[in-house]
Amino acid sequence: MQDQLLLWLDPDLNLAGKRLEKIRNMLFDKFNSRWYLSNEDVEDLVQETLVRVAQNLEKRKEVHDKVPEDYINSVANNVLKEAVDYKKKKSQRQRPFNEEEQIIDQDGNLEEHILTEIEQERHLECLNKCLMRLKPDERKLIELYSSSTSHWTGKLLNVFGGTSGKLRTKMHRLMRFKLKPCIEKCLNNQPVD
Amino acid sequence: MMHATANNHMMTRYLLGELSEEEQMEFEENYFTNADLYDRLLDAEDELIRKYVNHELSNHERRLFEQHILFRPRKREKVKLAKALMVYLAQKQPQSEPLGARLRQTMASILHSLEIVLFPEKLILKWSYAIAFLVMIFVSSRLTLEMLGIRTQLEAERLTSVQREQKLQQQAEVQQGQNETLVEQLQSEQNQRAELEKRLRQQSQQKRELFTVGLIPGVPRSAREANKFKRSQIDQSEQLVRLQLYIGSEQPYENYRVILETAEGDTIWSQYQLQAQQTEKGKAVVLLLPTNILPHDDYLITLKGVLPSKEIEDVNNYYLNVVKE
Repeated sequence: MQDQLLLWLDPDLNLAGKRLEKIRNMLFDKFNSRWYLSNEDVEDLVQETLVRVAQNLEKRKEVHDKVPEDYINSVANNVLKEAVDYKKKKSQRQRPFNEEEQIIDQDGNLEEHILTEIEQERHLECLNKCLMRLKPDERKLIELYSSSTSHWTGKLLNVFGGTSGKLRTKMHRLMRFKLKPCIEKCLNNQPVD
Repeated sequence: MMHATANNHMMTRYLLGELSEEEQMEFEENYFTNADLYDRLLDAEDELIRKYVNHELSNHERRLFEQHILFRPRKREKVKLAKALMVYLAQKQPQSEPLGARLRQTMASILHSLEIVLFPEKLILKWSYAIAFLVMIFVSSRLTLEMLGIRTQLEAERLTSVQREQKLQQQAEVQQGQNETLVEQLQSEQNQRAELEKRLRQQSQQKRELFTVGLIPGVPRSAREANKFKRSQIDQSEQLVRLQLYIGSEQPYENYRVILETAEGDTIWSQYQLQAQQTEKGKAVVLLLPTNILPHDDYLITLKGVLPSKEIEDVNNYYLNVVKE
């Protein structure tokens, strides 16, 4: 069933896998945005959506003609609606906190507790390693932008050229497609390229 | 259907859970089918995370971020990476960086607090601000009008004062001119008096009686005949001659003035502040004249009286004839 889903996305399984990963991310973002769903609910609903799509691909041939992202989103909407109706019946309108994941700090300094000491140490080690693997101008862009205020200074624009919007996009794409995968591998003790 | 090019503000609201259910579904439909839009949504999320770890969000946005983003494990991993990057860069840069971040957060909080105070959501507060603003405008207008009125009044008074000052200055100048004339007259009289006294002393030293002529006022034939004397009657050594100008007994004048003119009308002698005296033949104004001013000729003497009110009136005219032999 999984293979049928991948082939539907792209004949090239490699590309299909990447496409599917992107669709999963979009589904996570979609369900994450509903505050009344717990983290377990989100995981379940994403999985439920993909399973239902795969099942429909087997049962109904007309599904193969639809645009995958569009169809998957419509299935996700149905899944979401059922979940909401279910919760209404069970009167679960308050945020479902998970005790293990409760990280709200009484003092309001939540951001201080995001990284534990050990995590910070590991992260810094991997950051150092992965930043060194970037090109000098890429590293400089990330360093300068991340340490500056939210508004672009003339210095940044003079160094890199272009508009603030394009530089911001470039910086975030660098983080997402180069730096973050490297750090995830590093944190998982996998060899980085 | 929502336009595919949703702006950053819309995306931020979506990420912070501020959109309605319908708006969310419409937005999701768009980014599911538009890869570029989804990438931009992820950029917006990364930007929001960067602002969070750098304390650039307002308190309101911060709360929503922690409720909707930090709450999710997948998102929390992204926040951890951003936090680690911030710490990494802080360790590389001077100590003032964290302070700068704190300052930015403080500024953001202050601005947000100001925003709440100045632009309240409650209707009653909005109305209160509107009424207070209108009252302020009204009071300001009244004060401005009163100030303008006071200023106009002050200006008018200033102009009046300037005019008064100019008038007084003119009066002072006229008065000064009159004073100068009086001073000149006084000086002239003092000089004449000094001359007379000198001659009188000389005459006294010689112990001779002054030649005296009594003059009757008017110019009738009898007066003309009476008001005549021969030049030869005056001794050559005599310096002065006494003229007695007879006046009526009842005269209201404080003092007298005498002007001596030739027949041609030239004034050759004048004397002020003369007093009437009682003589053998009646009251008279006595005038002492230097003899050298009366060679021979006809003379007209005008007698003027000065009233207590300082007005000057003509009293009498006297004809005088000095015969040569």
